[in-house]
This record gives sequence, structure tokens and C-alpha cells, in this order.
Amino acid sequence: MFTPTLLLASFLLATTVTDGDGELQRGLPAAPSITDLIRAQATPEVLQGFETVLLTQVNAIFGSENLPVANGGPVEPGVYVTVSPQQLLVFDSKISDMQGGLVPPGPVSRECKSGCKAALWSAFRQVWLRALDEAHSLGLEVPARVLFAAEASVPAKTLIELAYAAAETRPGDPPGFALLVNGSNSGLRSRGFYLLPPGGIRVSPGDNVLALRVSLGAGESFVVSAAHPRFAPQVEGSGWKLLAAELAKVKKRYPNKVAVIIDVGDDATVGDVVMVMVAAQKHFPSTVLTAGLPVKWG
Amino acid sequence: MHRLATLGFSISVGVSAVALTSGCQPSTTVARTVGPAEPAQRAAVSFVHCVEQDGGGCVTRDPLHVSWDAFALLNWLGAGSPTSILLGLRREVEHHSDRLAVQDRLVSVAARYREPLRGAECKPESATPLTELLPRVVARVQARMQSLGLWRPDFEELVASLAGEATAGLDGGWLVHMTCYGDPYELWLATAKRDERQVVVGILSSLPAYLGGEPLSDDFVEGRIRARSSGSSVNIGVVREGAVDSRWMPFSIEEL
Repeated sequence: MFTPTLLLASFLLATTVTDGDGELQRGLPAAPSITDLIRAQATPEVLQGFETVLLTQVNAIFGSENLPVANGGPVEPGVYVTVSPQQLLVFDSKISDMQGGLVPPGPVSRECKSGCKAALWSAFRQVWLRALDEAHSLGLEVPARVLFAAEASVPAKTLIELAYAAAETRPGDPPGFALLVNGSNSGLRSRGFYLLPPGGIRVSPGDNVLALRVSLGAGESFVVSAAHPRFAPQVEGSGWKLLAAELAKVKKRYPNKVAVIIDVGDDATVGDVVMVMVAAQKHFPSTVLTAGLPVKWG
Repeated sequence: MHRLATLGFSISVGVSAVALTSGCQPSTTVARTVGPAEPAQRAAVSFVHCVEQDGGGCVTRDPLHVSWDAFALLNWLGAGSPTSILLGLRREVEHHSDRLAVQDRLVSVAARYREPLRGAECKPESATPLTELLPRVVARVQARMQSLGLWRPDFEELVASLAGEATAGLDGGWLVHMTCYGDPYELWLATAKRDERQVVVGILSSLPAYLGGEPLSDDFVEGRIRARSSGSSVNIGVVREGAVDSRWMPFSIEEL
């Protein structure tokens, strides 16, 4: 019989591969080995096996080819949430059925300032309690990042509702957020984003804030506006290439600004949000998501 | 379904011979026999009372702790978050191989329970033989690691090795479910048989659903989070300074 320690030394992990057509390979390779885990845990910014776990789940739930397709940064470990039009999972536990990508109607949590549903509040509080328990017993940190693997067709407002629920239920400060994307030959990648604080924010004229906002409508329609009263006129259009061009014009007038607020409205999907991120990435790489919350001037 | 041995004594009623002769009163005796889980439940209650007083001082050196640690490690693989498993597996397996470290962890767990258990009035509700639970834990780990994409032959050997250790030391042991009026609200004490006596060898703060555990109520969840967050040494903060909103938008206001 092998001892657990000896077995640890022989446990290995495989890498994520793509098929060259932008679709991440469905038939996953052999699982990571313990040797790779050892190596990975010595370099914690890359957690060996984490991408395998994510991809296995994404492929089982909706297929990695249905993730938004985009470039992005490396995938760092954290709590992961999987959202399809039919179901919602946190880690590998199903939290709720979904109705066309929407959280089923239900009472709103009294504790949730963003107005998230009580069912989400309870589910995420349980998740964070378990994270606290694991942190206590294993000497780990409570995860400071929540990753969302959402099918591209899922309404973007669902992503925002889930992100607020995950953030407001976390003991301590809100976590960072990342949206997982299909990086084609680069494998699974992530795109970070922020949320406006529940209730929005108020800025004073002395802060010199622009608060550039792209409000999304049906299809690829958009409106570019800003909280700054001298930003005029607002620009309306349709198509991501046109949006990229308009944002490039804005950048020339406001070269110091790097953040864009994406107001997802009722019609935008997660895929649309990623396309806006791509259109804005050259000039406004920091993304703040909201579903209608204001940036008040003055 | 696993078998639950309910709290209390099994009661058998025996009716003594009844004298039919006049002048003799019929007598009925009640013989109380000890149920199979009773010694484990008594050991759990004694341990909790001891922890209320002495915390980690109630833990004595016992090789059976390693068997429980093997069981607990398997249970973690079956119920822990995949992220923490990937982050902590190496350290946990190394930890498992160090008997003193295993004992030290139980000491620290007992010490942590000392204050909460005072006044919590925990009492045993039920007990389940660990030999009934172990096969379910092993099956769960296998199914879960397969679904996570982590199952490999060497992992299978790791699980078999841990299961062997657990089986060797926990045969005759029980998992005693205790409920309390305050935090921790519920806990599960594992016992093992040593010299025909039941001794407590480990503590679980929750029982996963696949072993029949129920989710905590919202009130209990809040109570536990409050207890764990106050005075905690666990790093739960996300430090962001000089930001638009230090909690939600941690970048310079000039960038907005």
C-alpha cells in the first residue's frame, strides 16, 4: 500500500488545450498530477488544475464554445460561479434553476443593498461561511476573487445581480470580479471588472471625474455619455466597431481617463458586455458594470 | 439509508412472573439496556463538558487521531471547495503524515470551541457508525473528483490509502450529532474504540449533504459568520487605498 505522502509525490496534472478553431477542447486531458500540484502551490499565482476544473464544469454545463470569445488575462483562483440559461452553480454545487438565464422571481433580501434576491443571499452566505471554515481549519485565505463562467447568451443583468450578491454576502470587503472568456488558442482567459457601489456614487466637480458610460440596448446598439456636464453631445450608434471608433475619439479629449462604465440595461447579454470590453480595451481598459445605477454630479 | 441510533436508552420491558396466589402483588420491572450508540454519545457529552473547561487540554495523544484525520481528509475532498482542495491538498497530505501535527490541530480545534461551547448546552441527537459512512465518503470522493476532472489512478491510490487508514482505526467508532442552543448550533464528534471504550478523536463543524447533513438556517449562518469574523486571524480584507470607492472601485479617481 502506498502512503499518502508517497502518493502525493506522484500525482500529476494535465494542461488545457484547444482544438485550434477557437473552441476549447471538450474531451479534457488526464487530470493534473500531484507533482504539478506541488509545483503549482509553490507559485500560487498560477494554480495548476484550476483551469482543468473550470473547463470540465463549463463543458459539462454549456460547452466552452458558448463562452464569450475574447482575449484576456490569466485565470487566477477564487470562488467560481457557473451560469447557463438553465442553471446556476457555485463551485460544483447547484444553487438554483434559472429561467432563460434569469434568477427566478422571489423575495428581495432585506440585507442586500443592491436588491438581490433572498435566495441568492442565503446561498452565497453559505458559500462564504464554508470559505471561512476552510480558512480557519486549513490556514488558507478567504477567496478575494469571484469568477463568473457565463454562457454568452445569459442576460448581462443576471451577471450583475450575481456579482452584487456574491460581493455583499462576503465577510469583509467585496471581492474582485472576473468574467471567464474563451481565448481560443490561448485557452481559458479572464476579464476583470468592477461594480458601481450599490446606490451608485456621487462625485464633486473638483474630482474632475468624467465617468464615461456606454449604455447598451438591443442588438449592438449603444449610447455613449458621461456624468461630466461638459461631455456633449452623447453619441448613439450600433455596432462594436463604431463603438471602438467613438471611444477612440473620447480618449483624445480625455487622455487621462482609463475607466468605462457599461450600463447593461435589460437587453444586453454577457456576450455583448465582453464585446464592449474588447471595443474599449485599448483606451479604457478598466470596466465598471452597472444596471442603471447613477454617477451623480455635484 | 444509514442507520441512526437515537438518543437515549433502549428500553425493554420485562414482566416478571406474576404470582397468582392471593396476597401477592404482581410486580413489573423495567430493564434499561444500553443502546449501541450510547457509549459514544456519553463520550461525546463528556468531551464537550471537558472542552468547556479545558479546551485543547482535553485532547490526549492517541494514534487513532490519524485514522480520523484520514476520514476527515476524505470528507474534505468530498465536500470542500475545489479551489481550496487545489490550494491545500499538498499541505493537507503532508500534514496528515505528521502525527503530532494531526494532534495539534485537534488541540487547536478544541481550544477554539472552548468559549462557544460554554452555555451552548449541546446535547446528542443521534449517532451513526463511521463504518457506514466511510464507503459513502469514498464513493463521493471518486464521483466528485471525476466530475471535477481530477480523478487519476494516483489519486485513486491516495483515496484507497486514506480509506484504509480510516477503516483500520475507526471500526467501532461513531459520528455523534450534537445540537446546541447557540453557536456552534450543531457539531459532529467522531469517536473511536480504544480498549473497549469510546474516545473522541475528531470534530466536524458541519455534515455535508451527501452524508445527510442539512443546510444551516439563515440565522445560524449569520451567527456562525459573526463568530468567525470577530477576532478572527483569517485574512478576509481586500485592501484598496486611494480609490474612487475603496471597497467597490479600487482605482484612482483621476482615472474615472
